[in-house]
Amino acid sequence: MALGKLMTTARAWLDATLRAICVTLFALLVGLVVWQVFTRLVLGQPSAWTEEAARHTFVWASLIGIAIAVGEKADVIMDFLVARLPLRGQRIADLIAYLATLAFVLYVMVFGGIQQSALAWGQQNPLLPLTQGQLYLVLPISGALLTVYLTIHIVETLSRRYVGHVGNDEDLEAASL
Amino acid sequence: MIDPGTISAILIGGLVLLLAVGAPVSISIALPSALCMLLIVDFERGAITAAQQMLGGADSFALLAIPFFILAGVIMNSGGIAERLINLARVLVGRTPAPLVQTNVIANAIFGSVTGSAVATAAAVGTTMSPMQRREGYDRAFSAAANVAAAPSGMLIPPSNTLIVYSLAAGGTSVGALFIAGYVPGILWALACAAVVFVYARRHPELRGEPWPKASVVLTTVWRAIPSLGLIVVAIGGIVAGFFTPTEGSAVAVVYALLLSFLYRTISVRHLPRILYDACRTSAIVIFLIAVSTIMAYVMTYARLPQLIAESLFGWTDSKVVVLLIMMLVLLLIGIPLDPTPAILIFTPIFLPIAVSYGIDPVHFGIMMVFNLSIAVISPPSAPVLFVGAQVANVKLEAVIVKMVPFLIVLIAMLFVIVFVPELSLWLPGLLGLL
Repeated sequence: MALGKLMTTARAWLDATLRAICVTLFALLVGLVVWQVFTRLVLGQPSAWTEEAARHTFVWASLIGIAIAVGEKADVIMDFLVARLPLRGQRIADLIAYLATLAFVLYVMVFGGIQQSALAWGQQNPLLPLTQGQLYLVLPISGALLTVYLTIHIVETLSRRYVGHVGNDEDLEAASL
Repeated sequence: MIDPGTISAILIGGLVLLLAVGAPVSISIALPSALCMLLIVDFERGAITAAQQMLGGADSFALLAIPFFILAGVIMNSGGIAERLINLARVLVGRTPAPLVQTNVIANAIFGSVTGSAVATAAAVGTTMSPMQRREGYDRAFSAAANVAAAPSGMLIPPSNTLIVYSLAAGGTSVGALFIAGYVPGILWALACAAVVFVYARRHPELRGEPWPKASVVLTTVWRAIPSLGLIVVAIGGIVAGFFTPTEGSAVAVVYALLLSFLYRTISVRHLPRILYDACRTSAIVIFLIAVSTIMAYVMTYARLPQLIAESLFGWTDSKVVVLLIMMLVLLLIGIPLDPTPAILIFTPIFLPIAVSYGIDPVHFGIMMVFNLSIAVISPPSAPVLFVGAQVANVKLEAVIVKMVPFLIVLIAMLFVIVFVPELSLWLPGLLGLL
């Protein structure tokens, strides 16, 4: 029980931290592009580094964002088939879906991402005070975060508290009662 | 040499299997593609190439317009703008019968063009309209179906993220030209839905139209809606006039939406983290989809699948009409399991060169593709807009699907009009000298 509580606290902390990072990166992104528009249209001298910085900020914000989206199960899924299965079938379908995601994340994002980052580690970005390898690090970082969330989902699916998919119809029937 | 048959079997089989067990659309594309990568090169190189493709696909300044238009939409959505635009639609509907459903249809077109999201539109307008419709004794399932059917018109009326994705996939077709080209087909979409409602209302005389409101009410309503519509004028006008790039225009849209919402005092600084977070999560899902679709496109090109698909689909005919019909049929079918974003990224490189060889303008082709895939977004069984529409109206999904049928028939008929009458898409951009 104590372990479960610790897990919940740790998860809440991780969620809050990632949200804060996403919000900061997104705000920074808006600032960078607005600055770019301002320098080009008002000052007549477009700033070269802002476009480069904006593109990388965007990739970072998106890849950290997808970790949270998967954590909150906000990604687009179609469970009209699964929702019609008995609970046991739903559990198996969910496990396959999570394991498939985990396989991709571990192989491409973590393993491939680390290799790619290592290859470009010393390659200086011409406009930013960072190397390409450092900028590529977001892929394995996002992969690691996804692994944490997917592990949590898998554990929850296997646990006795698993309730399955609440299908659209059942949900509405409950709501109209 | 890798066998194209094996690659396509893995890609299609994997997609169907993973979608069936309820895996996210992105993973249903990503995992089979990574598997193919393993067959093409060795374990280590496969992982690196896939990782490179992912980052390469997401790393584009043109794509940046997407999160910004999403952010502007989220701001507008939480800024009490919906109510002003619904009132405007109510005035525009005038004395037509079944006024509350017609208002819903027209409001979806207006609100959809401001937020650019079919799901957000169906949710926002449907939530406001369905209690009113229910109080007045409207059929709930039919009202919900009209709400769902009209929601994607905003995917054609600019700003449109789907058209931005197409511009990218088509190798840089002008976003300004695409945006302007989307107006007439987008408005026709809404009018097609309005026509279905009109015919329905003829058979339900109890849903009478209401007398025109007083001129003063009309003027106040229009006046109150003008600032919200100004977003479109500033952002789209600036992009079309070449004053700024689509990405810059989208950033201007964010600033405009923010200033307007602060002015209306509907949001304050302390709401900003929540808004930024919502927009970040939504755009992350879109961008992730683009990143993994890039892996799939790489694998397909490696196995020469685009050429093979083109040959087997179109090799036996040289009739422009037949070719276009096949393309539209394939897209309608593929759009049902697939999201518009991957469908555009994967099929544009295959279809566009063939279409161009038959003398079709890339702008016109983009519009027909987006129109087509927008129908798929509301076609059962797998349609997020449909789920949301049924949910906010508190109706059973099956009941809404039955009432969707006339809308889908009319919209598919309209698709063929859009396909075979290029002037509908090209007249307006031609007039502005954008072609």
